[in-house]
Amino acid sequence: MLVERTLARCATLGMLLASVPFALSAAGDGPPVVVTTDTPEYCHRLIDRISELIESVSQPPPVTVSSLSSEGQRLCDEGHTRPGILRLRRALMLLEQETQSP
Amino acid sequence: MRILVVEDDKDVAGFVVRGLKEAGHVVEQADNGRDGLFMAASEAFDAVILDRMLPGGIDGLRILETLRTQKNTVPVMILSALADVDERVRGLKAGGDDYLTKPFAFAELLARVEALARRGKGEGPVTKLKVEDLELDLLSRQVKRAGQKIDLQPREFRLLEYLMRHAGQVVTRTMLLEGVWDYHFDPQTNVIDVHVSRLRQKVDKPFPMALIHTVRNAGYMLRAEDG
Amino acid sequence: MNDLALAVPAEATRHSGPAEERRVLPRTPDLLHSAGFRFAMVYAVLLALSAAALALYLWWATAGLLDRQTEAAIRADAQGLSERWNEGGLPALVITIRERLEQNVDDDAIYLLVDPDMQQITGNLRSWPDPVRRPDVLYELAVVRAGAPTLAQVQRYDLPGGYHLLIGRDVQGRAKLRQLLTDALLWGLIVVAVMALAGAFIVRSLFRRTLANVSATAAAISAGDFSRRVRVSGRGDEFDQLAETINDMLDRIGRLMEGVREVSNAIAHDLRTPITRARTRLEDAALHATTPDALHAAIERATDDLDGIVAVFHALLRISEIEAGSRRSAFTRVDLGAILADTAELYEPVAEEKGLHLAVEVPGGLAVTGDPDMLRQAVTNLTDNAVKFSPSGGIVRLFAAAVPAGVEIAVQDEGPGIPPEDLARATERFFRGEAARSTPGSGLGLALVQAVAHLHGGTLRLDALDPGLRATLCLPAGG
Repeated sequence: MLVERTLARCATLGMLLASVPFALSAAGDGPPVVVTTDTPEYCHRLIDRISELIESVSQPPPVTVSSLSSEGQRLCDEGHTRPGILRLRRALMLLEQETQSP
Repeated sequence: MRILVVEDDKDVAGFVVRGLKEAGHVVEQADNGRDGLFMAASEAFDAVILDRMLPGGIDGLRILETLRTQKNTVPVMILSALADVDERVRGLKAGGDDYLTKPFAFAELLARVEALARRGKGEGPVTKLKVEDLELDLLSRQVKRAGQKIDLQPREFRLLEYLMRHAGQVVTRTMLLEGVWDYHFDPQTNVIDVHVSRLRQKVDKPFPMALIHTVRNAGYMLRAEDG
Repeated sequence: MNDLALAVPAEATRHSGPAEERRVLPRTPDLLHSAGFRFAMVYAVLLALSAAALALYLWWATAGLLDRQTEAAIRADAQGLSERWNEGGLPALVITIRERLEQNVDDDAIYLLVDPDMQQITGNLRSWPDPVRRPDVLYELAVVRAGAPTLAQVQRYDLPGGYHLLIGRDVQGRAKLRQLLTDALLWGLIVVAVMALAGAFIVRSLFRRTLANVSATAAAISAGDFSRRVRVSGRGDEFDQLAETINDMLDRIGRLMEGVREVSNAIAHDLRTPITRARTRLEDAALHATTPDALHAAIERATDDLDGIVAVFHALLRISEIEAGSRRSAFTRVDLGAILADTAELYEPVAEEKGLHLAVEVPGGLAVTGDPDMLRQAVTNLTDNAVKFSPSGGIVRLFAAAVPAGVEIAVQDEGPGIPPEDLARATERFFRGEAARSTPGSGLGLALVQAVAHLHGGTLRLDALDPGLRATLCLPAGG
């Protein structure tokens, strides 16, 4: 009886694991690959970009853009790079939309 | 007639063989299945009396089936202590021609064996039966004796027909019940006797010679009176 | 005397065998051989398999979906980028990649564009990850983001001119979700397994409880208590049907056993008489007969007595055979008109001699399903009785008619009939009323007729007429 139950459990687990997509090949070896857009440098790049766009437009930037970009800058300076980059990117996207629509 | 008796019970075998010899027949006997089968297969008999329960590994029904498979059509009378209907049917299905249960009256056995042997001789289909001056026409359903027409009811006709087909042989009451009325049990009263007596009134009484005789303790026989 | 003493030990050893077996049987079979356990296991396995199937589907629909979405996103991305490449070549591609990174509000995109020497042109990876060698294969890559290790899925694309493009997505969130889901489902399956086990035990005990009553009753019956019956719960379900069938069977066995007891008693009592008579005659002849003729006569009379006993045995066996009901397979459509007419015709001469008139009334085409031989024998027995007991000058009527319940066959006479106090017992084996004691017969005729009636699912009814008796066989039409 015990044998039957253990067999059943193994079969279930096996079925679950087997349905994981075969296309995935594990790649764990080699030197760690670093994503370069999570750094303070990228933060500043984004800030520069935002400023560029603001200057190219005659109107003053919308409130959301300003608040997002200042918040993003603050977070970056405090060391929370990823959240900061997130807000800067959002600000950038809003700006792009602004500049594209007349 | 040549008759083979296959029976292991010494008393019954002795009784039957003696009786058959006294009746004028040539009798061979075997007391086990193997010998019985051998004798039945290798010699020609007019009838075989076969007990169902036999020692020697081969029982009566097996012998019967073997004989029939060998296309041996010798008439076989089965003797058995097993009386129920299913066993009768089994015996007849196996190829038996008649089935008699023990204990039996010897007169019954003799009458039936003689009838069997006669039947086995295979007279072709007949349209007329004749004994002395009694004539029975099966096609026109008419009976004449000494040229005079006799009026018979259908069942009386069949009774007379049966007696005439077995002319010269003993016909027991059981045989008549089976052959004329298709009854396979014994009503225990003398119904048959009364039927035969009525037949006699029409067929025998008006004429000088009696043809239908009573055989004591056995049954009836239709034949010309001797002397 | 010595033989008897020797015989007893042999009997004893022979009987210990079956008794031994009987002690072993009622013990409950061990777990592996229990039918209740097998049923329970079937239930448990079915439950587990269904749960596993459900879990598998859920997993495919959720975690699987997430994976498929990632793949689709990467492909869409590649599509867009390749259009840019076609429109504006390398410069356009570079600009597009930068823009996409800048606007990647989902914070999950990974791009890397390298030249034929695998040197970075643009993107957010520093160098080409070693493991990613083959194009059009989705790789899982360990990446570091802001110092923390995460998981990404990437795919390589080879561009004309020897350039290579890597497009990927950060799947850490999705990987976490997938892990969560897998864990939850596995735990769920474990819970299901436990429930299946519990359910299995419940099923097995339900099974055992229902069967327990049946086996306990059967055990009590084989021990000899014949009054026990299986309990019927009143729900009318399959177990109740089984219980009722078993109870019917037990009732029938009880009746048969009763019958056997009755018959044994009757045989012992009623056959002693003719056997004693035959024996006495023979002994008397042996002691006192002086001439061979006298001896002959005595022997013949004794033979007749024995024949009578044999006939009684045959009749008894026939009745038992009929009661055992084994001949139902030979049932066929039987024409009642023919049977009554044949019987009347058989008894006509006897009736005529006694000055009796036989009248037959049967509607044409009346038939039942049954055994023709037995029905003929039954009608013959009734007619025989009627003719035997009728006074001269009377009338015996044989008639049959269709009734709502089936068919009735009746034989009616004007004889002395059966006194009311004897009517109930008239169909017992060997029963002979006072009035009949002097007439020939074994007392088995009506018993046989009743047995035939029962075999055909019907009854024998005796009605006292004034004067006379009417015996009616009531049979269902379909048999």
